[in-house]
Amino acid sequence: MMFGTERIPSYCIHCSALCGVIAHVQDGYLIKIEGDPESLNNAGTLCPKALAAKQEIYHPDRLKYPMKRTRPKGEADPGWVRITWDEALDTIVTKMVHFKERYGAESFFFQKGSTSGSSGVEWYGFYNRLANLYGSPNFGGTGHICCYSHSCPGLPLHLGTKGQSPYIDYEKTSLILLVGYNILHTKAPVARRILDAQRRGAKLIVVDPILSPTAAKADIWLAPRPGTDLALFLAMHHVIIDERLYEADFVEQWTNAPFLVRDDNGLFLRDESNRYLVWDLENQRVQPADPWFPAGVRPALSGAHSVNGVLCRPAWQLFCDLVETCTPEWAQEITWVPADKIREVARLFATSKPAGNDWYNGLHKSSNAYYTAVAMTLLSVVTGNWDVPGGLTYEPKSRFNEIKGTAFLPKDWIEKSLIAAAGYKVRAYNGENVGPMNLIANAVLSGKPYPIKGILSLASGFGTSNPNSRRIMEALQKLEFLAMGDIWKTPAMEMADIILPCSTPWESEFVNYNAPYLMYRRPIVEPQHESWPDLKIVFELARRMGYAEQFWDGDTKKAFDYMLEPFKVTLAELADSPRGIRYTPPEPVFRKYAVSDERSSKPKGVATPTGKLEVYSEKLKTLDYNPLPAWIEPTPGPVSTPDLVRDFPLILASGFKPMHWIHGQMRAVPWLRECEKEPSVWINRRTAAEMGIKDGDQVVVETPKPDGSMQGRLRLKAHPTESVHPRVIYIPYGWWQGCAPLGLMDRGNLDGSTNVNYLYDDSVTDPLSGTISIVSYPCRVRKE
Amino acid sequence: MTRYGLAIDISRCIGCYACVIACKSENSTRPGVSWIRVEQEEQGEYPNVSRSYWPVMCVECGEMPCAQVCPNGAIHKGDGGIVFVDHDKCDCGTKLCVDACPFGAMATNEGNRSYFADYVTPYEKEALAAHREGTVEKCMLCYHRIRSGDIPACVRACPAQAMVFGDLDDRDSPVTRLIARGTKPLGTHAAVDPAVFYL
Repeated sequence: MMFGTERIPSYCIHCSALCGVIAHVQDGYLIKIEGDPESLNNAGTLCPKALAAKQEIYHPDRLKYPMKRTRPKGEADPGWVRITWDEALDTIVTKMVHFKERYGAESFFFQKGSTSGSSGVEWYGFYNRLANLYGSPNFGGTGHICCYSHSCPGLPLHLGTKGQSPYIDYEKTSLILLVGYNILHTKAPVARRILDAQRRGAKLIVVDPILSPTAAKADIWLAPRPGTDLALFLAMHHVIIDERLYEADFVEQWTNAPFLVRDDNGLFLRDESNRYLVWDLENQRVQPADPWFPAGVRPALSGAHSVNGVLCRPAWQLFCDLVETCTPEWAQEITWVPADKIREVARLFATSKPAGNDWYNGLHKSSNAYYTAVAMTLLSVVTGNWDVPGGLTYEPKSRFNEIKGTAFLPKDWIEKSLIAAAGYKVRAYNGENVGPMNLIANAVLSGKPYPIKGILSLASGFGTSNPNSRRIMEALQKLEFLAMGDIWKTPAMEMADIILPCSTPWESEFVNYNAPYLMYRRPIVEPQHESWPDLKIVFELARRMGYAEQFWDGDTKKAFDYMLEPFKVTLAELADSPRGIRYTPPEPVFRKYAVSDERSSKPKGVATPTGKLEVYSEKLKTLDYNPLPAWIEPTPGPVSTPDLVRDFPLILASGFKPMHWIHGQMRAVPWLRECEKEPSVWINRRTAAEMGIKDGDQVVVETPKPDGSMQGRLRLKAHPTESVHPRVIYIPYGWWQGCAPLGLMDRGNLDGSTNVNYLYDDSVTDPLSGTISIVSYPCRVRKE
Repeated sequence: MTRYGLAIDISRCIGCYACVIACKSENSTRPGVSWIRVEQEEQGEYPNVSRSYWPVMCVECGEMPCAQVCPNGAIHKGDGGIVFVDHDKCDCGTKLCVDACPFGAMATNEGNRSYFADYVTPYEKEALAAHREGTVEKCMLCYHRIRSGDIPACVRACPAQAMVFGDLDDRDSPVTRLIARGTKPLGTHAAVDPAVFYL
């Protein structure tokens, strides 16, 4: 059977891990996909999603051709009619032109889903370019429900790493602290590296309210009350400072800890040349720091110092004051994690050199999300583990030419963005043109600060991926024009005017580096039916909008050539070598803050406002936020909203996802669906027993709106387990799709669905990151 | 002699189902039939709770309780100690072997089904045709791959690299050396002379 089979080296782009694959293709049909043993990333291994590629590509229920609605929104049958790509794209372009002329470019929203799915991780830069050329400051992403403080944009105010996703150097680390991050499943090629680190003696500590598959592999599992990780980290800082386990030299040299902060206004004390000042213990006087202070100066890290009548304290003193009362016993009350466990982990983290801590989605679901991430990353900073071999590090930007085209945006775009209008000043300061879907819904429904008239959405399941699905659907119903492209018919498409069938990643093309090869990824098989790769849709829309010149004459091949320029390789040369061209990237550079700047011969420092790692953020202060990560109770929650807790005594956490799913995708693929046919609600075995709930029983989960009235209700099967706290339940997210080959029907996203986002209100957000607060949501469970 | 076998390191298994899908993809088994499955075991009370994952498949055992009950003599030990089912003889209809296997590793093809009735590629059609209705199937350690010098599809795919394949009769093979360090029983059924071991 395998004779004559072509073996095409490629890589998977279902997630950002980019695993090398070998596709076995015969007569244009994909026979099977295997991991590429030559790939340094995955070494021949492969995850279920890629292994099931065949069933995704040839699935009978894919969208097959463009369609338009012929019945008004809100009617049960939209009256879908098949149309040509020309008609679909011309309709979209006509609307785009009309809205821009009539209401301004900001009235049109370009929505994209997560970077995972239909290869969004690659093409979204071009989509962003289209939005930028059009001039809309509202380009959609998922940072507010996904990875805000990690890479979207990360923590530029504290670490100076804008858009650079930090990672642990697993090869050399002695301790791995993972927070809300089921990385063993969500970044498959990292799994073996972590297990290898454990095998050579590194400790794995996992912080997660649920015993996730990653937590199940931990040497120590800390299960805080959902949404209280900040208290845990503050208590760890308390222990580290109290027991003098921090790296004083590092803190003094590379952070802004010695900078003097004025008692009267909380800003840094500056001299007449606007230089920061430190208190020199040697000479008992102030010394300028710009941001480096002269050799021989011994800066004070503690105390209070009067300078020209202004009382000042080093930033470190303020940080120490903050955590002084945050004892492990204090944190135990809040987090339910035993104080001795917190002490143990704090000591282990500070004394196991090098140690790395990393975090993800789990940290981005509460009203204190931003400060939680700050306190967590500062653990890495104060122990001297930031950007060292074996610690938490990051890589400089992509080596490919940038194609986003941010320069095309009008100068005042950020002021016009919904982000700025909604008062998310950190986001606005960081210059993010992302419009979270909850803000779009606000603007559509209220018309304020200006109406959103049209949305183009590619690879986004925003009807199920965003909290408060009902409100999202109401907004989409009111919206004047909605065009959606995807592989599958998603619940939000019920409100679409135009539906575009998108190709799977396997039917698309791009260029990328998949170590050790620089590769041109050609389609493994031709696009099925009338589907188009998203990239082709973007280029064709750009051409019809009159942006051909800025879009490489509408030629993706020319665009790839442009991306490849830094490698001094052309696409034609790459395409001639199906295996790819070997490329050895420069050795990773650690301690990038210490690298000498060629002109000044001083250390480069970091790209924060002060040029140093910031334990105290003056910028936050000037934006009217707390400059320090002080404890805040998550809202809603058992402490902050006691009225809700009376009737809804349990806490709903929708945590990790397993390797075989990616967000709300792939449920239609029967091989994968056979592994997990339906979602179930995890409820503690003892809690379940008290309610007479047995394994497999149908239960009803109900949640309140902020005013106590009913928000949503789901019917799910119960899974009694000891993997959750007796007061916590866990419901997996992303469940809506059917799998007809297994006789499972679509469940929609509202009444009668299994979509956990139906259970959440979305009105409470983290005032810094805009993260929607859902992690400690009150709920109740009863047997059906 | 050669006896093919596996060492599965439970401390590394992350329960991701890559082995299950790799097997599906490699062997084109029919809907509802899987030659490997992942079992979970939770122990303890919150928060002192642990969960382990156990990939379970035919352990190519020496005792062969399946063969002992087969009325047609359709099950035999073949090359490298692998247990094969002769599908020409497997037509008893009683499926005694399915119940006899202590690992639940034998599966019957119920109904002549494919996943996508009208959309199979010609090659998928051909691959499915190899799985006959009503017969019993099981893992053969991807014998067709072993024969060409490759390793089983599940072992290759495992993102945790929790599985090691090799010759148990070769004292110096990595799999033999791993097993020599000590193994864990799968349930209470260890006394069948298995070729698949759990570490």
